Amino acid sequence: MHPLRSKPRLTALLPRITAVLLCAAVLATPRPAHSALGAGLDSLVQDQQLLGGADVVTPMTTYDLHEIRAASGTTVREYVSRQGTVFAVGWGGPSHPNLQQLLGNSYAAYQAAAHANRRGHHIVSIDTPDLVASVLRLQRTSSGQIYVPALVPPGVATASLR
Amino acid sequence: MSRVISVALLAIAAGALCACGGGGGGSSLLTSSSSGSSSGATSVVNTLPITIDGGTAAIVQADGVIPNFAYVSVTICATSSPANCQTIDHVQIDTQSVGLRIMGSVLNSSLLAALPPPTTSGGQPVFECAPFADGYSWGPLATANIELTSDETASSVPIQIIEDVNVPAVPADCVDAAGSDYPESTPASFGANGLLGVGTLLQDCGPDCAAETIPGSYYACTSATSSGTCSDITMSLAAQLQNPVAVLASSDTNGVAIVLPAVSSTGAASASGTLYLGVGTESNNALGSATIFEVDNLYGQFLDTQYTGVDLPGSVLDMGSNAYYFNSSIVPCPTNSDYSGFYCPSSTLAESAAIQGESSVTFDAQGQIAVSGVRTGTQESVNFDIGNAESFNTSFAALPTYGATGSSGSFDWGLPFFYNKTLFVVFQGKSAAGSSQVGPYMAF
Repeated sequence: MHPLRSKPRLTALLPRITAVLLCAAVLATPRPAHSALGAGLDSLVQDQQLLGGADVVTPMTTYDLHEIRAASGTTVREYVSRQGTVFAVGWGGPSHPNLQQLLGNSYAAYQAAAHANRRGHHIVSIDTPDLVASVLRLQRTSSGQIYVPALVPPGVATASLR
Repeated sequence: MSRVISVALLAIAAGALCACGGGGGGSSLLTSSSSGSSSGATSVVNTLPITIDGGTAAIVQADGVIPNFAYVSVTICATSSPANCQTIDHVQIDTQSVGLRIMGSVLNSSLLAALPPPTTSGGQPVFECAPFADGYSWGPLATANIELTSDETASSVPIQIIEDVNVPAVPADCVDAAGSDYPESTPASFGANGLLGVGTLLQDCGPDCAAETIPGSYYACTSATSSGTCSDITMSLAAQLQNPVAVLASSDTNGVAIVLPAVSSTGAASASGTLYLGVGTESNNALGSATIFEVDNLYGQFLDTQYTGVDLPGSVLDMGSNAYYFNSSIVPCPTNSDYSGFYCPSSTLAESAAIQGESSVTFDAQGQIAVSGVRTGTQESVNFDIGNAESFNTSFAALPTYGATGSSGSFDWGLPFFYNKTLFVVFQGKSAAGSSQVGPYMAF
């Protein structure tokens, strides 16, 4: 059922992944969705409520960095373009964020790519045209960065998305 | 140089460069050698053969070999009928988790029936959720006797039986905590028949789970069958999953040493090594001149890496991941290739980094790992090679130059780091002959 180290399957999935992400990009106007990556600011308000922390906003040159410190001690970072689209998320702390909520429409693509090549129990490392993700999940901590390359505003160095 | 290293080198020399030969040869050589160190008794069998063989047919199914997963065999027995035992092969070793977890589907029905879950004071069976990076493992606890070797046993140890048949549905907050709805409940989905977590900590969750309910940890269920529903509970330290080595009845409870052979940079079909129980407790596991790297005392995992001028305080020595995971300017594999995320340099690259211990870390307001204590001890330079992931023989299980992109602020020194090395893990609160340093620490 699930693609594990099934190399052919990732390639087979790519058209579907692309379609999912294109939808996310097309629908990236603010809307009531319980999603974040690829969605609008509304999703951030919901994330803030679910995480139970204040949203600290830092304006950058071409985007706004929203940082929400959850009650668990984990900080979730959401990168919002001038068009109001969340193009990257990151986190670090003792607990793992709810990725179904945080990734929204990109979650299915994340899951497919995460299992396309076996890496072990503590790492997810994805670098596809549609989604880039690095997750380090240890027994008592979690950190990660995930972004959609097509949504990153021009001039933003992806290495700065932490 | 420590005795473990020198004898391991002998074993490697004896096996020439063919890492697939002579499995477990190191241990017999070791027990025949004498030593002036510590507590004497050399007749104790404190070694487990390690195999890196790509997994069994049931584990890999149609997907080809799994590279760089290190396996041992572990025997578990029922406490109620101690002769009711089963040896489970292909249990993966992990230095970044704690506790023994076994797939219920590999246990015979007689033993499985003799391993009922422990219950709460209210009589409810206890279950656990183990969130991993790429999924979750769910199932009941069991109280079992463990035999790591004929001489190294532990009685009535809490372990997890990973199961998704005839058990309560996985709680929603387990899936949320894992960040994934992908169940790792079979040998194929998990990549192993079980997991032997011998990280630096003594319990998997620790004081947090004893103090409050933590979503994605321990649960009490109304029934152990599929009709049950489950709620978060607190768990005392003693009732949590225990580091199996720390609760052995022997004197080899302060840590482990892991020895893997050198492997050609182009890889090998398989490799064999040895897991030693105890550090500085027998004639074959002396710390010797190994350099000590303190790991942070809160999470028991982080040390520091400097790579290409970048400080990476959230770095780990992680046998449970199968490549070097780190960010670099090395050419990545094409994003549309089967190896996207891995590195694909045109020729094997010689890289260098420096590892140093750190006493404590914290997550700052931005969620970045920051050193809150001090970097401690020697900064040790480490050389490693990164090869072209697309060029490896896909039937090879031992790939010492396998590298991929990693998480910001971190260098995950996965299994390739362990080749051609003796890596010591000394548990929290424990010390080893030859050093006054108190764990948690690692040394190599």
